[in-house]
Amino acid sequence: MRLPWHSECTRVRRLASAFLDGRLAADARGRTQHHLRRCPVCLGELQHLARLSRAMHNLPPFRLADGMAQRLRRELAAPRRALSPSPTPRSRAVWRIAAATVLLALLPLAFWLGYRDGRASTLTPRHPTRIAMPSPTPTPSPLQPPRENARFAADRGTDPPTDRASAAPPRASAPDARRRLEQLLREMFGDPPPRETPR
Amino acid sequence: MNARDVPIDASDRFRDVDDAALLRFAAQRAPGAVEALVARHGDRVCSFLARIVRDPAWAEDLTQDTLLRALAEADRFDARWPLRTWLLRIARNLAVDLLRREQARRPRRGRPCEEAAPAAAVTAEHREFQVALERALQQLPEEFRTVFVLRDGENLAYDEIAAVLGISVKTVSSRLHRARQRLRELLARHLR
Repeated sequence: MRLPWHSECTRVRRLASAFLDGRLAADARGRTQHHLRRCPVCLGELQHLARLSRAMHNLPPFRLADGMAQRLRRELAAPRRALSPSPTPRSRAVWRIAAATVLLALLPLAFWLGYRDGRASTLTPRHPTRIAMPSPTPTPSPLQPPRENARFAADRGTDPPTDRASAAPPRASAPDARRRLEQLLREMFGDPPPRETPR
Repeated sequence: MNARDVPIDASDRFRDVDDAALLRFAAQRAPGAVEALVARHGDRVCSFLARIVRDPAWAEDLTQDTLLRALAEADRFDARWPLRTWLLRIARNLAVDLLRREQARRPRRGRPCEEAAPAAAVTAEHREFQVALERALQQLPEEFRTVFVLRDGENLAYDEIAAVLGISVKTVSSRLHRARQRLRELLARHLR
């Protein structure tokens, strides 16, 4: 079937590069030649491409500087340089993908370890009895009733029933003095905002 | 033949030796073999690299790296392909690596390849077109530029280009068509 004239031009220009390199099959080549004999515009396009190819082919070559062979011999005589595993970009990409996969596999582990350590050191423990804290006082069990508010206890004229108070020695140690100071401040200004770290 | 590095007797020894054997001799440090290898392929590899990386100094360094790598991995050379194809493949991969590193480090300044010496018989008009072509080449994406230089500069066949770049012949044809069309647009003023 014969294509309209402009469609034939489009087809020929699409095939012009392959035609120039002799890459067309016999029937396509014959059809292109037939069109080129009748279409000066397409013929001009093809001549432009041919001129480009010739110009590229005739570009003056670069010359290596003197002494390349001597430099190569020196490099070969020197201890072997550490070449990269492979010069091909594809191989490099494979290495990058492998490294990314390993990192992704290690990420949940690192996150879990960090989360566990963070719970043990900084965050308020949800289950304090499971975590060994380096504290001289016994850790209150979550099953015990919550500690009574010190201000209300002071209103009733009683000390708050803290385990620490009962376990503390009678001498005025630094923690005792600090606790008394905190109690005094509580009586004067009310309860401080809740602390994040367990005492 | 580049006689600058090669004594006459050394270059003569390998005149009739084929490329695969020459590579083996050079890898074994046979006297004169490295010089013969450089004389036979050095300038072509350097010309190709200069037009890909657009810098003669880089091209010189990469040519040395290419030949060193070829000598270090000579046992991996597949003698079914021409040695030049293998060298250009190594050169192209090194060039791509360098371009990526340089692009990450700083933007390209597009330095023209001015060190190419024109042939004596070239007219001024022809030389002007060559300079315009060099500039237009720099504006092509690397994959199009490489295909065009390999085909029209190095005169490689489509299957050899495909082997150098690790792509299909169909992709070579497509990239070459687009490269030529783009160059024709860029050089439209000179082609009229």
